Amino acid sequence: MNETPTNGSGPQPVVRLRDIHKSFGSNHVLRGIDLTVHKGQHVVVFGPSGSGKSTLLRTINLLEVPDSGSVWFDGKEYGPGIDGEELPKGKARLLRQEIGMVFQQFNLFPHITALDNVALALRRVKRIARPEAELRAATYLDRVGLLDKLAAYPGQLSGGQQQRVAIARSLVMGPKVMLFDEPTSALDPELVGEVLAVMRSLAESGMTMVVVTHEMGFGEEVGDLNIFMDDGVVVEQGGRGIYKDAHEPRTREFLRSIL
Amino acid sequence: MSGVLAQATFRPEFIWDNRDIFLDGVWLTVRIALVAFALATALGLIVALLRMSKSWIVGPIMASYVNVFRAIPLLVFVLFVYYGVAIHFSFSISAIQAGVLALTLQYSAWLGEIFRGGIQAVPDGQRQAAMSVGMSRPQTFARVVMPQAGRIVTPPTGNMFIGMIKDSSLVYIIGVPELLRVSNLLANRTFRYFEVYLGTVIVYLILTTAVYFLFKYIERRFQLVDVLTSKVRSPFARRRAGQLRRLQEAVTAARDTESTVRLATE
Repeated sequence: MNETPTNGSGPQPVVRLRDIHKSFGSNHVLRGIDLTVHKGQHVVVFGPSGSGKSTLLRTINLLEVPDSGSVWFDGKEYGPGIDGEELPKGKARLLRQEIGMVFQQFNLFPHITALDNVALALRRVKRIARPEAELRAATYLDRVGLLDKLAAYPGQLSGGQQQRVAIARSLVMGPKVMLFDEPTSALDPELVGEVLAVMRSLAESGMTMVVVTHEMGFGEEVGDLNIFMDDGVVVEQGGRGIYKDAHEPRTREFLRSIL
Repeated sequence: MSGVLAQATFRPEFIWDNRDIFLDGVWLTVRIALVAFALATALGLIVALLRMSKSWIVGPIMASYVNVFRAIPLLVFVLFVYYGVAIHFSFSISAIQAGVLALTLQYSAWLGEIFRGGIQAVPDGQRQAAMSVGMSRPQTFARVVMPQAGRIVTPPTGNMFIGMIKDSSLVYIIGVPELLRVSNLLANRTFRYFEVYLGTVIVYLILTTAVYFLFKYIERRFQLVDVLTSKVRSPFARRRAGQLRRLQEAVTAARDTESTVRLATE
């Protein structure tokens, strides 16, 4: 299951980014990024802070709308496109229903219980009746090992537990792709393991994932495609060997500095 | 040394004997404060939302609205609205309506700023998380931003409500027979100034204390309590706890029969 076709027979693309450019003011954060994510593939993006990796991730579910370039997802094209092109436009909200996202700061809704956090979008977006929505939500809390915490509020949970609820909140929508934006960076060191364990299981179950992380061990373990970004461009990409055997001096320098 | 008109003896029963007069005034004070506060809350929410508009023209206009209405002394504003505008331009509105209008406009400016602060205090990550699961902007506002902002603005809004009850006394100047006005008339007629204004003070104190306890109750209702582990046992919490336990049992039972992938073991 873990063997995903990156170059085998007929890999099926799920997300394709084409020539993405994004600036915040005079800061040119993304300078022409191309990326194709295939079904079941695990993409790991790493690089120094400010390299644009989080912005790249947020472009995939259009929390950031690119200045130019396009996001292709599941047969539809989003974003302004490349100059002169006219593409059928999709609705960002529909795309987001099928792409899950896990944030560095968890971003659970603090005023409702863990169960309601997971059930909210089922009820309001998918319009599923409350008993059914709660049953599904509880099932997903069980999957991340938090069935006993379903009545707890986020403030009563540890960081690791909150992040697992956040993962359940995304998974319950049945996403085709899961995005992780430095999911363990805000956690106390002893809580990192439980979140990585859930992510590892998820990868093994065949979920398509794009993970921005500083956990190089995670990349070595599950990363089918590993991308080193710096200064808004992809400097180097490759298989699991990249962490031991990078070609680009900048990649080697970065890996040396964090290991 | 006492003044010529000062009463030699303090007669507390005078207050009770004139309770009907006080009650008439209180009743009008309460109605004015409630109506003006309800209108100001609705208008304040609109002011807050427009003030955060990205349009280059709407935001600055609402900022001026807030600045203007906060800058004018309320007593002056009450006079201006009634004598200055309503009477001068022959608008057929009563003194009560003019007073409510003046209070509403000023309080909408203050409340608008409180609401804007509350809405902006909700971290942006909350909106992003709501949008990332496909919620629309109105859904995100109603289900995620508003409930959190509501908790933040409740204490200052309670202060404003107390302020409204007190400030409603200023409409006495245009002849509205609310608590202060009827007190003035009674005192001028009977010369029992101490008893009358003591009565007035006590009634305001009772009103504002009631509001204080009301908002304390609302804040307590906001407490986030895990119904499964807490000792709080309201009938509602007990019923919900029962539902959740059955939910846990159902999921645990299905766990053994279905082959759903578990991502964590605990």
